[in-house]
Amino acid sequence: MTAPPEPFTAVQRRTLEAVLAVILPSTSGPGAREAGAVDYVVDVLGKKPQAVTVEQLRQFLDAAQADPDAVLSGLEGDRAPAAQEMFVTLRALAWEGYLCDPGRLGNRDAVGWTRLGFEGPTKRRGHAVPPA
Amino acid sequence: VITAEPADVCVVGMGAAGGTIAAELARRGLDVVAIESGPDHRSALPERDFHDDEVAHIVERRLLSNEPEAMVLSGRRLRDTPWLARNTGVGGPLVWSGFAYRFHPSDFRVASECGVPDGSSVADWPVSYDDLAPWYTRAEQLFGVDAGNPLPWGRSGALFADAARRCGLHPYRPPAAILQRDAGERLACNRCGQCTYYGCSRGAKASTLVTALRGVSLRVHAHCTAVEVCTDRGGMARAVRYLDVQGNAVEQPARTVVLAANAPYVARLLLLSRSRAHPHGAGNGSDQVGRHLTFHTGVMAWGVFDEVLDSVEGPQPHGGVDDYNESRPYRDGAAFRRGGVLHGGMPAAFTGGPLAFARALDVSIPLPDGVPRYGDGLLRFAAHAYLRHMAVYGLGEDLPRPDNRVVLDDTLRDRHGLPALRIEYTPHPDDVAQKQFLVARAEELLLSAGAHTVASDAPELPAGMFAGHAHGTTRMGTDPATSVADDSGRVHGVDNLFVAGAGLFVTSAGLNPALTIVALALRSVDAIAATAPRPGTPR
Repeated sequence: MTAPPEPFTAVQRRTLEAVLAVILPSTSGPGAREAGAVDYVVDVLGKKPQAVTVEQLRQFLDAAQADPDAVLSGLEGDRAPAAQEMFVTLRALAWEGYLCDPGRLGNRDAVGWTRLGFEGPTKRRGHAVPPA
Repeated sequence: VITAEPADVCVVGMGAAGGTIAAELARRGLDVVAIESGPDHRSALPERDFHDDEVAHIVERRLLSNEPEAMVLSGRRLRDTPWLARNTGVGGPLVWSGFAYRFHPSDFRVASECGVPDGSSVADWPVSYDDLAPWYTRAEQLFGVDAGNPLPWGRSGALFADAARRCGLHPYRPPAAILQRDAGERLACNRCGQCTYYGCSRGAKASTLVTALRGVSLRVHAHCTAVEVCTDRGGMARAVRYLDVQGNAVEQPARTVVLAANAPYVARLLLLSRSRAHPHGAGNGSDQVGRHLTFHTGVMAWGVFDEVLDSVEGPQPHGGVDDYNESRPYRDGAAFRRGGVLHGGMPAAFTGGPLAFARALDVSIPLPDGVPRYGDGLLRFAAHAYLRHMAVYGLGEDLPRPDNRVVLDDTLRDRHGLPALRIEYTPHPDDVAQKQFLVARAEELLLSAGAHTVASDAPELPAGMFAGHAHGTTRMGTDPATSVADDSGRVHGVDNLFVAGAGLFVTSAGLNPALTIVALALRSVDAIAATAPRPGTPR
């Protein structure tokens, strides 16, 4: 099996990483950047369709390149359905890249799980009968 | 069209109702063929297929059907999307929380209790609580409900219960089909917290996979979609036509046909089954198929506390309050006739797991005032609140209306090119008043419990839609002019065609439906078996 084609240019990818870091910054602890959320997002965009198309994302990233902070702030305040769809999709993807199973490329070293206090799926801990 | 080997009984849909009925009939020696649009989870490996991956279950909704549906809410058409949460695959219920309630006796006679409110089609059920009681007992035995060993209170549940008592209410641990001790092949719950939206890799949470279907031999056609009930000149069922995994049309002849898919999809299949004998669809001679659709009203409030709680650990049924259910608030002067249950100590995302929680913030979980929609403030809030929150969810009775219904859509098509389902729903005025009442009670309970931050939501859309609680559309009753089937599920005028599942519900009750679905299914088995005697026995 060959890997799906890379959906973004190197510049677009850097912008995407910056946008994800605006949504979940590293100000007070590990954020999207430390979790490698961009790796998850790029991988998942190549595999399954999202509420916004890759082409729409490319256009957004090109526009966001110079000032991701300002563009995201404008997007949040824009009530147009397409803008809200983009905002909600980007935020969902950021959380997925931050909190997914580390086997899915994001949540590197489980930094997202650790920050929220999640110890990892207990189903993998085997067979424990809880106290009655 | 390929014609398959005839069977005694063909069952469409292998969830809670279909799996229960198919297994019981097979145990009686009948030759049963089942048709299921989803995968056959009987061959699933729990560790591989029922794992804990949140992206697979929360984002991709792996165990739910993803056919788009049209939705008309109070006259406004919303976007086409899979609105109904419905289980897919052999062995349901899989995507459920394990609440295993008996309905109240009054839930079977709402018209007698409080009349027929204007604009509603409230009616009594053709069965009473007493009729169903022995079947509830059998369903509880099958599912291992509490098994003499009710759930212990966790920290969240105890906090909720203490608050409820301070408010003069009567909290309880909800009945759960979740084992607390190992029993045979089923292992005890390990409190992983990922119940709703997941299959249970331990078999602690009941499904027909680990109960009725164990050790039963059935022919199951998985990944096959039933598209028509074929009838003979006299209008009796003779076969089910389905599309197999390659898209070939196949006819499965059977003496008796049982439709046990998700309720609105049973109605759709009947509406698709037009013939000379049934020009408006099978069983639709009096224009009742699809009508009297009910969900549950849903409200939620959630609060953040200083201390670490355990709402995100399982099992999901942490605590309940039933003081506002049935007609109790009405008798105390409230403006709505039927109330609902409050469940507290719950995870705000209705399931454990950090991604489910964080991804739902600002989507299905309202953000408290002052929390930004992105940035460091959001991340810090999520990191604090994940382990320190609990929600109170209200699940209320949804009064039936004749025009709340499902029909075939004019334009939207499913992946086979057939008319997709259109849901038409307008809340009854009682439902609106009831939601405002329940959400206020939920907020009070959280503040009484000591939450320092509370946010709430009482959405216009009936939340039961997203919980798999769709009822009615093939209503049961004694009068063919106002119902589709009799109290065994037999379609009026088509003696060898049965419907099963929540579609038979006359009213929705203000409680989770799973145990009532299974009890009704068990009760119908004798009537179904009588129409399809074993070969060689006189009919």
